[in-house]
Amino acid sequence: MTFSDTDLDYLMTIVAEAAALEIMPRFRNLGAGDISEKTSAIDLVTEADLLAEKYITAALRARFPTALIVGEEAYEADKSVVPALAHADLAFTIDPVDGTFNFAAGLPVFGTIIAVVAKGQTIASVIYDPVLGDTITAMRGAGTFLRRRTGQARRLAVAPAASLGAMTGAISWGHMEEPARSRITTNLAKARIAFGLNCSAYEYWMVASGKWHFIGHATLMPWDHLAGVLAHQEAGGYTAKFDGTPYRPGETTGGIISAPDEDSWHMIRREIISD
Amino acid sequence: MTSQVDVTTLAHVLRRAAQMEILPRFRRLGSDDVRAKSEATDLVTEADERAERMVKAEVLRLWPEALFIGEESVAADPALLEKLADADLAIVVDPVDGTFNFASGIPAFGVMASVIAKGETVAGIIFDPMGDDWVLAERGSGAWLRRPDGEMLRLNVTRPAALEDMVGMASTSFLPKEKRAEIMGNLAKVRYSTNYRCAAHEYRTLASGHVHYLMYNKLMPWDHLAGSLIAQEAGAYVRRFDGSPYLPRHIDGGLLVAVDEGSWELLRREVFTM
Repeated sequence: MTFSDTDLDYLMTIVAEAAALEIMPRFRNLGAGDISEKTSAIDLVTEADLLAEKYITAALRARFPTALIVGEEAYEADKSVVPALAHADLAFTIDPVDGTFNFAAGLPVFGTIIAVVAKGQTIASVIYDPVLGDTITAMRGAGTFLRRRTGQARRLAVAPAASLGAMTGAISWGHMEEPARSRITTNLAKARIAFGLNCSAYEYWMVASGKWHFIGHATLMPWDHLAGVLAHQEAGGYTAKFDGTPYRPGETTGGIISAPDEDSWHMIRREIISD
Repeated sequence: MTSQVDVTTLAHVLRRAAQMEILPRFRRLGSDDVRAKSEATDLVTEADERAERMVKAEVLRLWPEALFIGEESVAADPALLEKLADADLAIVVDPVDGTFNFASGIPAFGVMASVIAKGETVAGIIFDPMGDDWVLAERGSGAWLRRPDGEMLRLNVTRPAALEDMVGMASTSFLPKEKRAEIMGNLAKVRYSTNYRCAAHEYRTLASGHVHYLMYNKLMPWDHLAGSLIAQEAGAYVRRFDGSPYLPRHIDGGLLVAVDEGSWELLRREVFTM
């Protein structure tokens, strides 16, 4: 399956439409009744999430009628869609509102993410900022770009490698159990700045654009990570699972680290994850 | 106490600076626009300098008797800061709070101002350029969100929670080296602790009832006076690590903001073991 520039333009268009119709009108406009608890107080799903997924799914079906479409809501209905990503001819993962805690709290730090997967490989991705209408796009073999709403574009590159004490980054430890939890929060003191943004869309944006050095995650739902990992790799970065193996579509366990290069990856693995 | 400065007028001064000098530069930075200040990640941008200049000119036109204090003004004249405690009226401004985010392209930054009368914070405003709205407080009158359509919503902190259910924001980068690993390790006791590196949005999030605590160690007045008053007026318990109230003249001693006194004591004992 080839995925053309025109197909990528189509993704950018439908994501912007979903954001304008279903996401932004609900931002900072939530009544208490719009938020229902899922697994925890910081794992919120909003009406915006549901309706944007529905909108994007319908638009993808119109252009790619045989593709597998995987979103959080589709997964709730049928868990087999995630392992099916490993061998589908063409598949899309959707995270309509990545950063639901931020969205619900009124923080303008959330994104809409789509990954395009063909025969077990992520081949294209879109990370969209609904607040300002800017997009990070990546195509396998063709680089990662920040595309402003105005039409200006800039190719992105990861940060140069640095010593651990000069690095900035984030490890999402909120879903980790002890003893990993306190070991990792303690080890994060070795870095210059340990951020926490509650939003993988922006975390991947930051490492792909060289503003942060590293990010790491324990839970690997594909709609949160496939797009960002491709953007990071196409910007020159190195990503692998905690055991050193590549992260592939369909996998959900093992944890991943993204770093500027392989040596930095090993340093983060040893000094911060360090089990 | 009603301040001699009309907060809505002051909010509109911040708003104009955001529209003219800050927003047009967001995500448009070339490498020439950013230069290192005290450390590589503590950036000051052209937006910061120009917005402060614009706000200062407007503030001194509207309230000529006020002492104007901003990050850039103090960088040029450190003695300004010492005048804050005794001034009859001072206006303290942070033109771009969250400069690291601003320079990185993360839309979490804010414009803040506080009004200080005889050493006490009497009003605070946090303007959000993304939403074109602001939160404000005047001492004794509660904390409010002013939506773009003019609607005012009263803000309240959330209910207290058990330590393992708390979510909060801790600015760990400025902790003293010998305590940093210990305190960051302690953070694993709460449900989740974030660090947005933007006091403006962090205070707004706490005052709106979405997190249980905030912690800061570096206390420049433009970063914390507005937010700490807003948090307090939304019902939060705001104290330095030694339990004393936070005043405009303080630039050290840390700051822990929690939804109530019990939560504050618990966090101070279990997590922020300074």
